[in-house]
Amino acid sequence: MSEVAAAAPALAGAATPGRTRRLPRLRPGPLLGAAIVLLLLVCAVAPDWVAPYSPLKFDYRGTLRPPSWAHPFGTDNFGRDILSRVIWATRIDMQIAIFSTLFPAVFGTVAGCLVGYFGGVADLLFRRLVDLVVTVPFLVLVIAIVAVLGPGLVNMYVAVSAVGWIFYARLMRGEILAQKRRDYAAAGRVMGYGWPRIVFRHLLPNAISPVLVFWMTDMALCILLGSSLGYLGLGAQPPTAEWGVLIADGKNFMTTAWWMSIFPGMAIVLAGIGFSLLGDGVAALVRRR
Amino acid sequence: MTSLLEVRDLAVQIGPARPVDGVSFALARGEVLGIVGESGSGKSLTLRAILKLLPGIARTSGAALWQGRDLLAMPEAEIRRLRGREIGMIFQEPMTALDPVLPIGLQITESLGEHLALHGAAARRRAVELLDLVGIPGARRRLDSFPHEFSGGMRQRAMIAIALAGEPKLLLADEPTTALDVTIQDQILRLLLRLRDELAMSVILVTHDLGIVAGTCDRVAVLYAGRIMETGPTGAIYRTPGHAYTLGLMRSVPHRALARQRLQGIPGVPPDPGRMPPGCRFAPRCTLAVAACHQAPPPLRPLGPTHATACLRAEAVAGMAAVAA
Repeated sequence: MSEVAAAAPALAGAATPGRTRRLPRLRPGPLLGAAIVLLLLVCAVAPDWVAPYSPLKFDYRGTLRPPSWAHPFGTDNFGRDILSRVIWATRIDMQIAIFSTLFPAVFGTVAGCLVGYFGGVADLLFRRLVDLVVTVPFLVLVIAIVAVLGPGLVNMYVAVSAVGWIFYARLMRGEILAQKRRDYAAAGRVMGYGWPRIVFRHLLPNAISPVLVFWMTDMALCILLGSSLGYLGLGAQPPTAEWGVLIADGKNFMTTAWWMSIFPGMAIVLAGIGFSLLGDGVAALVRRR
Repeated sequence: MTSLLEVRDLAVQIGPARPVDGVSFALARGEVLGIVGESGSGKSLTLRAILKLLPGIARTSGAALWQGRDLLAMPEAEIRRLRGREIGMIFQEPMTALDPVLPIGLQITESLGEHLALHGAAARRRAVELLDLVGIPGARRRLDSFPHEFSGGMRQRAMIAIALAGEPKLLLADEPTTALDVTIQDQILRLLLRLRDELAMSVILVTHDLGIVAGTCDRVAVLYAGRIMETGPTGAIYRTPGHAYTLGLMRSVPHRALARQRLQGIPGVPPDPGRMPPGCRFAPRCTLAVAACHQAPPPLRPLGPTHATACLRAEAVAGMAAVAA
């Protein structure tokens, strides 16, 4: 017993050194993720300030140059600086990350709240819709929609939004189902509060954390998706610099100029890692309650 | 004396079962009524039925007259205005009944805004007064605290403060002290009594603990298997219990006068709500039951001016109680 008592403070001290009451210590992983995302955001907001060259400037005397001090990522078949193109592509890919998740996250959350809280026929229809959507792979569904609407970024946003909200709604519905059984939901009704107040002010903040985490992961997935569609020629159209498009541009030169596809590919990996680490951090923050 | 709340023949039907069946009681202004019963006797259902908080599958019949108007017949929009404003409610488990992500102060000012149209600094001032009123020390500092930063007793005080924000005339307390330490229980009960006196508020205290009833309630209704077995002034029921079940309950509680005697539990278990006995619902467990007890449910009959029992053997019970005392 005394051993346990003696060990307890030491353990607590080891696990959480310098932990304040409100702000838990930031772990290195999420911190790194935040740094990566911040770097990407800076590139997206001010690419002309970060990039050494114009992404569209041709230089026919310097085509397909390997990485060097002047061109750290090399140049492509038109002599354009790959580093600058990767940096400019960040703007498009960040747009993809935000625009193709914003509507699904917001609309899906609200829809999930409502079907979760009220249940009934709307919930039944929603569950059938979920069954329908999960039977078809997400990528195939999105490609089918984009193929019908025609290639391009805006149509890609439309396609991803039309399908993506269902995943957020499904997540939210489950959380609301669990939360609405708890006493504070009953207490809200006892206080005479209307359903909008109970659902959006009390239940939603208690149920939102998995959605936030999923949102972060989803951003990384959407960048991958945008790059895949760009690669397939269904997303951003050349000469717009977009990571997937850049990789596709380089595929004919893969054996002679590996740098054309490798560096945009690494940018995608970096973005994926950054958002995932940040998502972990957000998860840890909301889980501390 | 006009009643603040008068419940007449309240019944709740869930599928084939009737977990609340023909419950009637009246409550005067400033009165504390105890509803006592075992788990599953329909105590909590009764409270929720009065506020129309039961899920759709439960069908409620009877009447609950609130200052003359039937709550059960009211449209949802109208009863919603009464909830929190005229009738407040507190729960057994104060941790889960408070919203975990909002500070206590916000949860009080929210209610103030909803019911009294009190906002901003005025609402915060009133919130501090309310926390003071329920005896939370350092009320001003505690406004920004979250529920998980309070101890159990403090949480229940905060819950009471939120319930009081709408200045209700009636507080429904659903086992408010069951989850608390005995010393804290006593503090919370004293608080409820003080609030009753200061705010001229009526209280319905639902509990399974006879000791709590004895110390706090003016009148008692003993509930068993969804029916009222006995109702009357607390003192009269303790001195001369008029129902075999009440006597059984009292004998199963340790008492100083009966120290060192073996406690007498009630044999058997409460009936399944789907298959209630045809006669008195306590009859299968009753040691005093006669043939008539098993035939038809005995109606409530007066034993005194405000004391009534649904026991055919009330006289025998009184005799046994007198012998024991």
